[in-house]
Order: sequence, then C-alpha cells, then structure tokens
Amino acid sequence: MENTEERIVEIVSRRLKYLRPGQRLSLDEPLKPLGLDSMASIDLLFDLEDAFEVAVGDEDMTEANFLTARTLHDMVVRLRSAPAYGGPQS
Amino acid sequence: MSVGSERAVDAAEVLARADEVATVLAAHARSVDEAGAFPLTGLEALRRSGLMGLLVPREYGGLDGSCSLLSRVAQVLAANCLSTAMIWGMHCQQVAVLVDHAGARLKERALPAVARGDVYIASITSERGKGGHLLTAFAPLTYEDGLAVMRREAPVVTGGAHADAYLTTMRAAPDAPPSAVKLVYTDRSQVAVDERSPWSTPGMRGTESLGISLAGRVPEDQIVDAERGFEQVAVTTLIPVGHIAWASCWLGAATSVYRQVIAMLRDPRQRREYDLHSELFVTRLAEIRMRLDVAGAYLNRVVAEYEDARRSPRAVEAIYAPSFQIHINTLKVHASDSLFEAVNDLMQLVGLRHGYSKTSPIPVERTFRDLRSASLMYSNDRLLIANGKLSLLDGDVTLP
Repeated sequence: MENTEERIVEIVSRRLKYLRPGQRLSLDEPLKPLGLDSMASIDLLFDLEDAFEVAVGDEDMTEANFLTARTLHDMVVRLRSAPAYGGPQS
Repeated sequence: MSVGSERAVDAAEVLARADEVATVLAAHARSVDEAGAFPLTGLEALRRSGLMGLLVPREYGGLDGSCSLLSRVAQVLAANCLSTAMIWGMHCQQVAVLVDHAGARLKERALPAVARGDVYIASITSERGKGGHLLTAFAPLTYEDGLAVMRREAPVVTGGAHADAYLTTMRAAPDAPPSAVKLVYTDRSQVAVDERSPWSTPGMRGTESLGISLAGRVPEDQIVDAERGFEQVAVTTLIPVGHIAWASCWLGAATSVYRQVIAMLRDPRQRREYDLHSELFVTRLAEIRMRLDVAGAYLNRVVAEYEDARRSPRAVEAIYAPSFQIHINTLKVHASDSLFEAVNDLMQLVGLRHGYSKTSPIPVERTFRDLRSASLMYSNDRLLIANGKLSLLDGDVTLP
C-alpha cells in the first residue's frame, strides 16, 4: 500500500507545475493550487491508468477524486479491486 | 411530415425503435459491405419497426414524425450501417414528397401501405446524358386510354431491384422540353423492371444502386405535381429533405467511428501504441472533433430553418428564398466534404492497423470508403455553381 502511495505521489508530482524543486508533496496537500488544472488532470488520468492498469471512467473524473494524492490513491485502490479490468464506463 | 409540436408518437419512443433496428444493422453491416448485397435483413427490421412510415401523417397510420426526428433517426441508423441508413433516408425523402404533393387518391392508396412497412419506395432521377441535373428529364411520358405510359432507363437507382414502388422523373410529353418534368409514382406491380448494369464500387456497397430499366403504364392520378410543377416539388421537399437525410447519415457514420476511437483511446489496454501526451496527436483529435461539431451544429440549424419555413404562412416563398437555397446546398456540400475529411484524418490518426485495415474492430476504412461517395452524390460541383449564382441574389448575405 505504501508503495502505491509513493508511486502516486511521484506520478502526481510530475504534473504539478507549481511544485517547487525539491518540495515533497504530502498526501493531503490540495493539488489545484500546485497547478493541477483540468488539462493537467487529463494527463494525470492517463498516467495513473497506465501505471496501475486501471480504467478511470467518466464518473470518476470528479474534483473530489482529484483533490489530493490521497483521494487519487483511494480511487486507484478501489478501481484495482474492481472484479474486472474493463474499459472506461460510458 | 409533421411541422407542428404534436406528435403521434413521441421522439423518445421513435429513437428507442431506431436503437432496436440499429442492433440488427450493426450485426450485418460488415457482411453487407463485403458482399455488396442489399441489406434485406436490415430493411425487414425497419419495416417491422414502423420507421418506414416515420414521416407519414397520423391519419394514414404513420408516426407523423418531423424533419428533425428524421435527422436523429438517420444518425442512429448510420452509426451502425451507412448503406442501410441511406436507403431508409432516401425512402423517407420519397415519402415526404408524397405527403407534401401527392393527390388525395394517391395518398390514400400509398401512404397506409408505407406506414405498415409494406412499401419501400426507391427514387429514379438519374438518366444518361443529363449530367445529374435533377430538374430535367429526357424519357417522355405518352398517354393511352387515360393511362400514362412510361419507358425509362436509369444508370443509378439505389435499391432499384428491391423496391416495392418508385418515384420517377419523366419528361411531360414527347414534344415537351426536358425542363417540363413530371414525377410519377409507380407500384412495382405496374411496371416491368430489368437490371441493366451492376453496382461495383469501393463504398456504399449495400445500397446496390444498379442501373435499371422500367416500363409500364399507370393511372394519371399517380403523377405527383405542384402549382409550379416539379421544380416546386424538388425545391420545397425533395432537395431539402434529401440533403438533410444525407447529411444526417454522414454525420451519424463519422461520429460513430470517432466515438469508437475515443473509447479505444480511453481503454488503457488498447491505447498502448498511441501517445496521448503528444500535442500533435491531441491536436488532430481536436480538429476531427471540430469537424463533427460544426457539421452537427449546421445540420441542426438548417433543419430548424427548414421547419420554420414550412410553418410560415408563406412557406413556398420562404423555402424558395435564395438564402435558404444557399443554406440547404451548403449543408450538403459542407457535410460531404468535411465529414469525409474527418474520417480521412481519423484514419491518419489511428494508423494502419486500426484505421486502414479491414480487420480492425472499428470500421474506419469502411466508413472512409462509404463517405468518399458523399461529394459525388448530387455533385458538389453543381451545387457550388448554384450557390455562387444564388449568392448574387442575396445581397443582404443572410446567414443561417
């Protein structure tokens, strides 16, 4: 689990243009002020899908899920435990 | 064709029927294309669905649908099989002509059968030597014993071998000029139909648009006419409904393959060969989407403009207005060019395996072949010449 958290922090950090060099992202830090706008969220979506082999459906593209690294982590964990690794929901 | 707000059947119910038919079309689209065979199973599903009578008024047992509903159903059908959708769309175009212009006796004979799904009507307007000009005809009608005698050859007739009835352009008489056109409704039982030339094309293969000849005699009340003659039939109904049906079909087909590509790209297992972070890739995706959005918006706008004109107390004048003529022609030209380009760009985007190959689960290449015909049907070149001249008559430059 910790490993997943670390990987998510690492992946999310790459999409945060206002994260200062050397600054460590905490799990509960709001992502929007650090530069996670809607366009960056789409890039991040594909990063997470590819890294964790999950499909994030449109219904999960919510502000709540993309709030912090922790909320993203919870979403990824939930999607990974889904019975089948299917395509995006429509 | 209904222009009011009341409907015999509500739009959601009609679209649900279209969805049901669409599953049949989806199952047969590939085999219809490969065999170049008329989609008999799809047509049978359409007959059973009641959709063959979509535009037939309620009093004749039809669904009393509007032009905007025609457009929406056409998109649903074309999303699954463009050939079948075009066959249906052109049938509806013929039905609209009967509803708007046939005499009472012909309506009473023909429309209930159309509504029941018993009669599929094909259009015969092509003729050798007239360069695709809709408003002229060479083969003349003659008259014997109160019957109109017709003998006609046509090089391209969609569904010609399978239709239950035809609407055919004929010269009014042997001594009449080619511009004196009569439109004749013919039951299959009233004419001998012979197949003359095959339909062997890269796309739209299921339409089986053979060359045929037809000969027979019909009662004169089967001639469909209007105050200003065939030109009025063409300008007020045949052309606008035809262009709206075609543009809707093309839009439905192009949107469908785009939708399937988006679904593929959203599936992490399937998109591995594509770089969604590439700005070139997403820019191309955006340009294709833009073509679909613009074509869809223009279609909806022109459908609304047509329905407004039909509701107007001076409907004929409103439809004859140069600005409306320009808009309806532009609909056809723009949709045919832009939606073909959209699918061409989509093929470039997804590449050989998913775009160019027949084995791809997404029928990009079939749609590409089908849509290549769009600018050739009722040629864009002719429409642009007309629009250029009409533009000189619309000094206010009335935008849609």
